[in-house]
Amino acid sequence: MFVILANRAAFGQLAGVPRTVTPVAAAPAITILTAATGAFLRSQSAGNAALDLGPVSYFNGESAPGQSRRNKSGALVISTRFALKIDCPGSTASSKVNVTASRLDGADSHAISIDGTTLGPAAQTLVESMACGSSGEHRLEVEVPVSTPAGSIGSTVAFVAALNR
Amino acid sequence: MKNRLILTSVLSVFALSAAANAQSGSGTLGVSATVQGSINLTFVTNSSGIAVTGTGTSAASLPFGNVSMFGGAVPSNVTKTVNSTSFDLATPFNVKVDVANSGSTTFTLTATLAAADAVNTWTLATTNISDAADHILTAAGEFGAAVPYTLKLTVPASEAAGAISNTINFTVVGA
Repeated sequence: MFVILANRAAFGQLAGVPRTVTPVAAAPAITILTAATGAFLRSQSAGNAALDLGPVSYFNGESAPGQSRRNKSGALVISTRFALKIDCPGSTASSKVNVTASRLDGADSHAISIDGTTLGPAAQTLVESMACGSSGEHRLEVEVPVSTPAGSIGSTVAFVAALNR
Repeated sequence: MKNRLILTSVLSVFALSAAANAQSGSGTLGVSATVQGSINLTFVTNSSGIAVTGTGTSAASLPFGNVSMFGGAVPSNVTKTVNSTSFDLATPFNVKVDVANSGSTTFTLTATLAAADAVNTWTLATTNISDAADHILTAAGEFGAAVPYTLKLTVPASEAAGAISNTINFTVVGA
């Protein structure tokens, strides 16, 4: 085994010709950003951010900046926008990623949807083919039924960007 | 042949390992909010009452129009009763109270005339509210039900002709 690996001729390369080194693509990096018309996001660390919608009420209150709200039958829906930026260090300019989203919590006090897709524990495709280095805006909605007791609600949405082959 | 198979397997493992470690990245977005309980009161036209201006909202009005003790037209769905020294105008309207994100199961409904009226008598259901004090209309109201209340205005015959106007403030407290 050692002899075979050390002999380039054994792999079809000419001995003495410099070997081309192909850079290994690093993991795509996700950055979650405040959208131009969205609520303010607090960036916590690379790839992680937090969105606090503040106090929300079915009958009272107004929307905070960057948010909109509407009442549907039996539930309050708060909407805002955010942006995802994907960088792919070491990848070619034409590289693309598939972006999925899922919920890491199982709270039934509310529902969360992105671009109209209600999130659950299973990863769902958010963007099928997103160019590396690009960013895109998405609409996030939190739906709170009137039956949910008053108090704090919270969820964590996980995004995964995988390089397309 | 045996050696080649072994080498192929080793390289494949390396390739899969690289894909698993370097081909995907992740991020998380924490989403939080503070849900506040809320109660909503709306006035709704009663099928036997005059049309409530602003029905379905929490700021409405009951326009009786032009009325007189003797003769004249009585507005539709208004009951006029002529007494010896006064006349009454009465019409029902509905009050609907809804609740969201609250543990309250009933509510207390209080009515308060904005300005005390020593001349006319304002009666809601059977409660005289003319003194502008707080008057409890119900101590255990049912959420989601449109409950009819009849407003009766008693105008003395001795009162000079002119406009009569006042405001009744309704307050709901969940229990």
